Amino acid sequence: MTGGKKRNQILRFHLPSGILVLYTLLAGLPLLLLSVQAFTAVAGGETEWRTLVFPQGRRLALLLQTLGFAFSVAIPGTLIGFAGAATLRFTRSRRIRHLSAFLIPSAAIPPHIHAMAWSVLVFWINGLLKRSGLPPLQDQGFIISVWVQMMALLPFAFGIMLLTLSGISNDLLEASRVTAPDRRTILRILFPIALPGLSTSFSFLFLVSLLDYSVPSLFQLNLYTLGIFSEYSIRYDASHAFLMSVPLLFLSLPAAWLLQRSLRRLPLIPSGSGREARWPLRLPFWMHGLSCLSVLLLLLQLLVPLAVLAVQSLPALSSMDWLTDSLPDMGISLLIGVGTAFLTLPFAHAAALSIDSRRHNRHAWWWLVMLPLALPAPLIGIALIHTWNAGAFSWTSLYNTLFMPILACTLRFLPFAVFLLLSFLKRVDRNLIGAALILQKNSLHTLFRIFLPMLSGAYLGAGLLVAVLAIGELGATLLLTPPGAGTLTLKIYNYLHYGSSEAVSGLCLLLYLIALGIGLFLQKTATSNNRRPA
Amino acid sequence: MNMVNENEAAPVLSLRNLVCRRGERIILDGINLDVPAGAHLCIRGPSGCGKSTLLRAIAGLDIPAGGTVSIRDRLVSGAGAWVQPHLRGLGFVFQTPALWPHMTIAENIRFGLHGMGKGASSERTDHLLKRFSLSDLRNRHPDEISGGEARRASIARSMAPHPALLLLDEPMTHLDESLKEDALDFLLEEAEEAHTTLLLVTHDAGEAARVSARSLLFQEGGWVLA
Repeated sequence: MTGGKKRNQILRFHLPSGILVLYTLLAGLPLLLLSVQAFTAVAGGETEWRTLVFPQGRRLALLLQTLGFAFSVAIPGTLIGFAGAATLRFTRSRRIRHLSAFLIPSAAIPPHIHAMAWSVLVFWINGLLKRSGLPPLQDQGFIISVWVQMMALLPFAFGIMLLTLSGISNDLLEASRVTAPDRRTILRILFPIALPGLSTSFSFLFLVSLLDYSVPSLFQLNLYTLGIFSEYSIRYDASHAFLMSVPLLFLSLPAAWLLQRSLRRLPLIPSGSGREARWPLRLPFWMHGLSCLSVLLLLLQLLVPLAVLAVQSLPALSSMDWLTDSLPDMGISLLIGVGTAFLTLPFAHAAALSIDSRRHNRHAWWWLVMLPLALPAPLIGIALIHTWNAGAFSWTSLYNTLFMPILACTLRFLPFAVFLLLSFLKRVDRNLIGAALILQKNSLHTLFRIFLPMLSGAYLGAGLLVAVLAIGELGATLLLTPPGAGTLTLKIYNYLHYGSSEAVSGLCLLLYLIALGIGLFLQKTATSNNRRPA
Repeated sequence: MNMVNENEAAPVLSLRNLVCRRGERIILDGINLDVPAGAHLCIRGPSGCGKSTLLRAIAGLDIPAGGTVSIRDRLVSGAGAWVQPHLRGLGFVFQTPALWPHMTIAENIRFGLHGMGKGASSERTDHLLKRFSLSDLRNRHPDEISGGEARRASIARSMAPHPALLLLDEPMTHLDESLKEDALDFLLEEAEEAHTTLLLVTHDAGEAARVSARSLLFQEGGWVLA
């Protein structure tokens, strides 16, 4: 093997594999040690394990409530995302089509901002209803939790479905249109071809709602994941927490399997063969109604937080004390965000390259990267505590540093970065790389002059995406943030438990604008990378 | 410009002053054409002259800016009329095979036969599978067959509902000569038997000569019947 070929092999296969082994060590080892500890406890006579693994009574009710919550968010969320995306994809109005430029970036807005805005809105509406002598809306419990969680996740459902529908060639639809009415085209052609997108959206919304307790806890709705966190806070028993997570894992692992399977089938490349749809779909009345409603709901999730927070925070603008008081928390949040971006990118790069390759182990990497999506956030936090505080990595003295929340956020949000990089990698014209490989001085020449510049927007986008998600993360940072350090999200979350104030609204508005700005930048990067080479 | 055919047979397709725009740009400007039943007509011209736009306007996939389209003496577009594509009684073969990936080849062909009974639709599907040498592939999905087979399946699908008029938009693009010959043979045999009118957009003079003696040509900024 020549030196050049050897270097090429190292860059393309060995280096990514090495990085992924490191990732496996960082992500897998804590979980492995936790599970070993739990099984040892069971073998050593832990008597409670049966009731933990097969929950009964209050725990079973909590689990069923969590399952009901996840389905209640995922099913309507997916349908609304599909109907909204179909409306924007097939409309002849350019103005309506351009709405997607704002709707997808709103996915970056943290869920607790939605919680804040909707709780204020419900408070205002209830004031009006009370004056009119009408019964108030529920401001706590299941229904409002489902509503707010769905609003927070709608941009994801919409984005996934728009990506799916953009990948469907118009020829496929028009071929049906010349022989069948539009209703039949939608039900027999569009719906089945869009199935990977529907199952991706459903499984993603289901997983997030099953495993994330931040929104429901703000509306006094107890979910199973919150139970894990609460019991761990009382007992400080990692085996107990792991065994308690098992029933949830029985539900989340199949959903994660469905998610990774659907993601693999998702058309990541916009269809270039079809010209823009030049005809509006003639929909039956109920479909037309659903599509109008879905666009309205998508607009509401974008505009309600902005309008409510702006009105609510107006009095706070006279004094900026709330902003100066929060500067240390903002600094910590920024450090966690930037740190997560820097730690995630090498792993995401290696994983995306390995998954995009034709090597036989690509499915294993895909599955490994997706696995953290199936784990409750507190479980990730607990596993890291027990490995880095008193376990295998305690000698590093990294526990009680910001490295811990950064590591937790890296594990939680790596799948998002990988997916983004992968979608860019799939769009790279292989001939461009082929031409460089023929003309290159050596493989580093191609890597630095061709490959990385072509994907620079993707790396920047992936970095910003995980940074903004890490800034809004709660489940793991709540457990892992070092004493004396607080994040902006933790501060807002704690304030929200005591009711809203002008200062909290100001902070939420600030976070909203930052998140939306980053989202808009990501969108611009993605569309500029859509351009095909000449 | 007037390209009314002197053939006395009743026209299956009539265009009167057809105008198509893309944005501000006029693509087709006042086309008049009568195509008699059973005729085969090729449409040729340089890229961007409006060949595909013409077919799409006839099919109802694009909405013309002016003029009328009539199919079998029925006004389907213009003068206040608009008939949806699936009610125009025509077939369309696209530049890509456009086979639905979630259906087998037989299911793709059967899709347009929703007006027929189950027995009749099965019989028609079997006939077309046999005619286009696709019987062995009936249960395969589009990603499991070759490009030439996909092209034949696409033509078979568009002919399944017995369309009076079949519009073909460069259907043989990217096929090698022998596959092109095969697909043309199948197409012409079935069209002769069913007395189907063909409008074929093509760049290939040889292909045009095999399909028809007459062509609608775009020359020096205008359309002529040659």
